[in-house]
Amino acid sequence: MNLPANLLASFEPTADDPFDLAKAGHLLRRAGFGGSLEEREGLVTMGVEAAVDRMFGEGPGEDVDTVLEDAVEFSDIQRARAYRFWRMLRGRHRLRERMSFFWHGHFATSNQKVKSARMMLGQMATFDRLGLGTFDELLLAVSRDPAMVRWLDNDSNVKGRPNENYPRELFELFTLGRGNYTEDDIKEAARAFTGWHLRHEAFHFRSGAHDSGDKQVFGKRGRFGGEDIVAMTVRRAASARFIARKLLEFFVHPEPTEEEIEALGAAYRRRGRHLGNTLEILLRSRLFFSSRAYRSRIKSPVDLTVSLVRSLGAGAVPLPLADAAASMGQALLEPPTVEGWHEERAWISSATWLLRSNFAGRLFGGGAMKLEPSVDELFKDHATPRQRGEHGLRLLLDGVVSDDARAKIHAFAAGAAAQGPGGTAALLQAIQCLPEGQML
Amino acid sequence: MASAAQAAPAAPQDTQQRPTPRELTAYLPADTPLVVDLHDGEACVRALWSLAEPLPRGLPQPAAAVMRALPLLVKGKTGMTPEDLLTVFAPGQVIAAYFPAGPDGQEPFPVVMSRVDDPEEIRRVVKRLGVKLPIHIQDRILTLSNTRRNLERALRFRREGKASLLQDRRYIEGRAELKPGRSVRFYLNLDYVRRIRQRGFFEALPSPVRLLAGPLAHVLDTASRLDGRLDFLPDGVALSGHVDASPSGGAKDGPPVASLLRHGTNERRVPPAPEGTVASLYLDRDLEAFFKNADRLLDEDAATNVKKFLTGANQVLGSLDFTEGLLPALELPGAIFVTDTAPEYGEAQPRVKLPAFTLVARMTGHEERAAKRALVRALGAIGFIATNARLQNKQYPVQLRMRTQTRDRYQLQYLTYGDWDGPGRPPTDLNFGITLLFAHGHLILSSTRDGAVRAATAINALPAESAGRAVRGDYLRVTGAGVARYFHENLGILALDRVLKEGGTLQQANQFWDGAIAVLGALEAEVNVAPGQGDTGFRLSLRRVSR
Repeated sequence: MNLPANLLASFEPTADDPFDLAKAGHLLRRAGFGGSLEEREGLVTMGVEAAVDRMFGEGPGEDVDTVLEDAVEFSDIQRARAYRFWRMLRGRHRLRERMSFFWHGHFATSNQKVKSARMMLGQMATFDRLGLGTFDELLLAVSRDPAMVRWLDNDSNVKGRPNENYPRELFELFTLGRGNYTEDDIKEAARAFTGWHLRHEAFHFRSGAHDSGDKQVFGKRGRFGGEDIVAMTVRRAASARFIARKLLEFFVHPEPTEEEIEALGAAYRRRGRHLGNTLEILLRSRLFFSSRAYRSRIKSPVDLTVSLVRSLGAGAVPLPLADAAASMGQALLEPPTVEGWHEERAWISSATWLLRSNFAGRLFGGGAMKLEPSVDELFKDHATPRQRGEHGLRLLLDGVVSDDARAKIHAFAAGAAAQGPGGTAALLQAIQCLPEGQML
Repeated sequence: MASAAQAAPAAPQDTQQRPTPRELTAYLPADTPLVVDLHDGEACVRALWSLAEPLPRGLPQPAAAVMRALPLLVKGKTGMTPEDLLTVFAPGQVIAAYFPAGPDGQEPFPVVMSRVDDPEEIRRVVKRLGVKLPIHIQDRILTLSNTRRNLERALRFRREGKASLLQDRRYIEGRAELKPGRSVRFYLNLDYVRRIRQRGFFEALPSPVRLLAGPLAHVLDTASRLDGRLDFLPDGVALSGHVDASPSGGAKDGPPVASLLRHGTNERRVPPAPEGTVASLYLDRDLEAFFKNADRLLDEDAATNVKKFLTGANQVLGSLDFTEGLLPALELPGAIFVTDTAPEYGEAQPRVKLPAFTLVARMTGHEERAAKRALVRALGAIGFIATNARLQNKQYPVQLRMRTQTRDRYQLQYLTYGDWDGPGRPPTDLNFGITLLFAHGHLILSSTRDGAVRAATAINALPAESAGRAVRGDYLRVTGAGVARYFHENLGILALDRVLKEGGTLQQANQFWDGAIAVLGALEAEVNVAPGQGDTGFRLSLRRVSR
């Protein structure tokens, strides 16, 4: 039965449908960029309840927040990008990093126009701070975010000459979706956001540039300011559905059903638009752990690069990793447009396929990314080709592949290419190049 | 690498006993390209090790622990203490050299020779190490090379008794003398190196560094040898030497590198270092000659860039031509100082702490008034251009205004972003401005106002009859403690940068920089490259200043 209420009912493991390595791996990948075999096995042992709790808590890693003040001094976007990669690789609060990545794609803001690594990192810090809180608070902070103000030209939005860029994208791409507002709503909302400017690259409200007159938005009349527009927008039913759809597309399945959207939207509204609480329901749900959700998304370049390193339980150098993701079409902090990146099948083409495959080869083979420990070290306790093949499949794919794929991998492991120096790297590259290796 | 060392078969017994020469260099061929000669290997290594004692303050625990454990590690591996190993392997003269290429096209190869007292002990240690080393011991001379074949070539030369390095005119003429005990001699056969390279040092230099390193590269192109000596001092090491050519040498139709030197072999007086100087650089260069001969000194792209620079410079200077008018008015490049500096913009300071960078050049008196006017005008123009560039790039702070201020009775003209009144810390850009100050017959150009005033104060403090310190050639001095202080102030950024570029954890990165700061903080460096009559001398000294 697929009534909305049951869709979000908690997943309860059974003998036929246990919380196994595959599900633990699924949870870690979707909610935290992946984890080592040891971590996955650990989650299986602790059970699904505790495993989901773990995603919301603190795990091993570095205290990445203490160095933000240093990171913003990097004036080049390349190092700023590497810093965010480092957080994804080493941060203790993995769900928080995952949500910041989600919001970065949602409130897509590009340094190509902002031209300030400091401001871009500031925006990401806002996502870190508020990304799992209420959407109200997050949206208000984003509306005032200096990078966003510059990106969508709100710093030239003045009384008498309102600039509609920000409210248009606010309604269309950030909160409501097309068909849920009118052109007049945009025009009037633009007036409300006049004076929301910058000074010294920080938000500054210029009262002299603000249109404080009467406005009509969403059928209501008043002397609305930007805060009022934010508050009204988030309360609209369309906003709940819009956010629910986005969360489902990111965490569950790229094409959520209307029932799923309705169910999650209702849960989101019931919980006062609290994103963390809503996400908790989703991550504990049968829907999340269903076969429909498992490996239903194609890894973005960021997912591919970070999850490969994490799945090996290894460390790597952030800068070349970030550059590799950029070369595959996803330059963090520089999405191509305000719509963000086109996901899923857009990541796979004959050209990007080669890049993805070569990346895996370079990562496993050592070199500039300095995988640590090396793949040879990771396989030292697995001597026979069969053991090596199985270990590789468990490391990268939770051991879940078709019989045909398994047979091919075992044959490869027994062949000359997988022996001797570079053999382990070649074996892992072969596994990674399976279709399953491209799926999140 | 697991089997025991194999000694080469002993050479056939001579019917006549040949006397063993005193110098091991007698066993090197005449055109040996490189020799490093330790007269007393044991004394040199002990001297080097003693410089590390005590370990620099602040060296991170893991590094300090490794240093302390090294003797135990050596003993564990070899069965002998480091001191005993030294006595066995290097009790006397030790030379390391490169054998020249063979007549059959064999590549040059490395060889090490050492006078030893106990060959049997050496064989025991090598066997215990379990490494396969191409070594040979005969007549109490240990010979080691990188391959068996090369070892044979070295031994064959010894047996054949052909003309050795001791008979090479270049080697003999080298004036560097080896002090008994604590010094190391270097010899580089530049004739040979040039034959191998088939490309000159000057030609190989990238154009952007030819102004700086061109004269030295040119000297290497025209010299037959380089001789040096590394002395172990109570508190450091000093490398000194000479190249048997002066910058004025070279083909008549070659690049006019000699013209780059303004003073050449003569001593000159240079401005004194201001208070809080971390590094001083004095370069003897004739910029007028450089710009006039850019076409011949630089590659095509660089020469074009120089022309573009001159076009731009002449535009901002106005009526005064850069090369014909401004350069003759100044003794550029003068002196460059890196100094501590007071905060530039009041209480709020950028997170990145930087020193001031100051240029000081004596004014010659030629068109002085015009030069001063032109420089002030240029300052305003630079502010205008920079403001527009920053505006286009949406960089903050944007506005660079020109102001005049009197401080300590000096009148400064400077570009300023204005006091920071924004939230949080100001950006790193606020470390940099341009301050112009004319004082005591000098032009002073600094990245901060305080830096400029310090330089002027230092000049003013000279006794009336003194014109500054005397220097010949190029001179660089760096105070390790001063540099270390800035690294320490910016440790967080440096550590994070290392993590992002090299990987590892923050803790590891902090330890790396702590170690670098500890070592740097204990050192002072001086470099002097000075042309002489028919040769060029150089000196590099590294002193340990705090124990």
